Amino acid sequence: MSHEERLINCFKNVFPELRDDEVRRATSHSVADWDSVAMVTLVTLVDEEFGLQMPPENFEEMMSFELFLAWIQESLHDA
Amino acid sequence: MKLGEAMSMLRAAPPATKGVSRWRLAASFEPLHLGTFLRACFRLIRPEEDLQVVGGAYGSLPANLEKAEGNPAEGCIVMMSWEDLNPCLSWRGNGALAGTRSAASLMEARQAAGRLTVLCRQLAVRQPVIFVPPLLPLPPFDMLQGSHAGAERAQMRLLVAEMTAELAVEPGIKCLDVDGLVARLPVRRLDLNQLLTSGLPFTTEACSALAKEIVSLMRPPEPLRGLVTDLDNTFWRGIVGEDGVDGIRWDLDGKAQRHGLYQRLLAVLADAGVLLAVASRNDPAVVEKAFQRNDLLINPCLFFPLEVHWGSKVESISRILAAWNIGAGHVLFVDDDEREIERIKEAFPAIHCRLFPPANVAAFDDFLVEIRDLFARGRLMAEDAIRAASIRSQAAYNACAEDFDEDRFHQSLNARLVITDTRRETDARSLALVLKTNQFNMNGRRPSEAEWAAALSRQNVVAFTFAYEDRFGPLGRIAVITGMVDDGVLTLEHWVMSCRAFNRRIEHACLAWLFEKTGVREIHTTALRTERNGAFFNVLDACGASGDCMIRRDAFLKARPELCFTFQSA
Repeated sequence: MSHEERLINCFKNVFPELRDDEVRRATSHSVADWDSVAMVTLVTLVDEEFGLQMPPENFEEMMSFELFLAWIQESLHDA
Repeated sequence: MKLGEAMSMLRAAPPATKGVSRWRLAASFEPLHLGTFLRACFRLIRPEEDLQVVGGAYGSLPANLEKAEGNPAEGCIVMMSWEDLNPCLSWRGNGALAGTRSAASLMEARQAAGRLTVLCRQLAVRQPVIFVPPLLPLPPFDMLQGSHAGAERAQMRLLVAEMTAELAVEPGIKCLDVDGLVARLPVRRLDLNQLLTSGLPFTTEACSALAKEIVSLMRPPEPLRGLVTDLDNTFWRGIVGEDGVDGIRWDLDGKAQRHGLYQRLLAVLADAGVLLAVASRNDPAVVEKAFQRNDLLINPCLFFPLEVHWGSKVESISRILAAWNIGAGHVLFVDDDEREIERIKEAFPAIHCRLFPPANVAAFDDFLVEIRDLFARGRLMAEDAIRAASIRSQAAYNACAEDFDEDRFHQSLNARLVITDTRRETDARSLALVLKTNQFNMNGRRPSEAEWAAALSRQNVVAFTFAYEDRFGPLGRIAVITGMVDDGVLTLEHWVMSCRAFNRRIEHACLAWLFEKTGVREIHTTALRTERNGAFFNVLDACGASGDCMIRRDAFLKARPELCFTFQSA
């Protein structure tokens, strides 16, 4: 499974009503349920799925699916 | 369980057909994922029910407890943190640390513990409470090494231990054994990053384990009722037919202490009312001699029946289940022979089986703990102490009944029913009977503790518990009837009776007493057929009930058999 597919699964656990294509376009502005609790849950799911602990200072920047994916790919590449 | 697995499981879970159980979670931290894990663990053991966890305002445990008291739910989980005793012990706050070591600070913590104890007790009057003492280590705000307990840490832990001990004796409070959980949870518990960013102090591993333990207190598994044990190389070390009565051992010197520990555990179980029986392929005369040894660690009279012969153990188990009058699903079979266990499992798929561990298995303590847990019950009741004796007396009763004309036999019983008004007396036994009775259960409804308490507090409700005794001995509290009286009609909501009380005309006596006590002309039973309550419907027919399960006084008086009972109000 690709990184993108694994991240889609994480997002769909938090936003189960979104389809795959909607998840790919998801941003904190476009998804009404994307609040601080959803954000913390996403970070925990990403940690479980990819073994990556996101530094708290990065939280505010992670405003979209795309940004999450980019951070994951960059972190895994660096590792 | 990982958080993603818990969320996926909840997403895929079928609709909850038995409704939603609403529990409050009172804590000074943000529960966040803990709520998700609680729901997931709850649905794992109760797939037909959902759990709603209602949180409180972040930051104040006392305020959350006061709020919970005013808004009762099915129950309340109270999770305590060190900072609830002293704000200086908070990881998120910036209180002055010097204060944590002063005598005044300890006094303040003691006062906080006292206040929380009072609030928990008040809360438990109206709803069940699960108390969770601090799970995390104390913050490193002292000058002692981690391995050095020191007076201050010991005093704080003592404070929590005393508080837990005080709460544990309250009937409505269950305390989580945090030390046990920590011992079973060899993972990091504190997630400081998460605590600082979101307010939840636990790692997801700790959350998952904690949720599993809390749910096991919310919905404890029904304890097993009987244990059938093998003898050779199980109850004792050796084969009594070959080694002789003096050659079998269960002591340290005989390298057989594991068998001694097993005997001691059986004695504890018997003391708590667990039924014990023996199924052994042996010469009965030899076993009888072995049971006369005065160094046994359990009185062999506590085993009933003794199935000792060279025949099949499947037949032995059949006869034991018949004597106990319980289903195989309530029984544990222990044997050292795997083939024997396979045969029993095949014949009784519902029975629980455990292999007595071979001598080379190190974790024998796990075996003992597992057996203890299968029979664990929160509180012992008077009925637990007399259950085994009453089953033994049932055999004498049956033998005697065969020799008499039925009416004459009942006249000779000196039967007595002691009736308790369950509305006035806090009585855990009445709800326990409603929850675990299958065969004589009017409708199979199983209320929660909160529903039971709420139902009994209504106006016009009647609720009685019946205790029975005759010349063969006491059976204890064996029947519960609740209902509502309105306009000369008693509409029953629950009517259950222990299977130990069958065939003694007790059901007729209960109805006769109810008609007399309430003065109603009709009793409407609201009976519902379940998979296992055929016994109830048989009785209904014998009480003159009409097709719509209504029992009219005149029809009952005509249909009932002769009753020779003494009634006494408790």
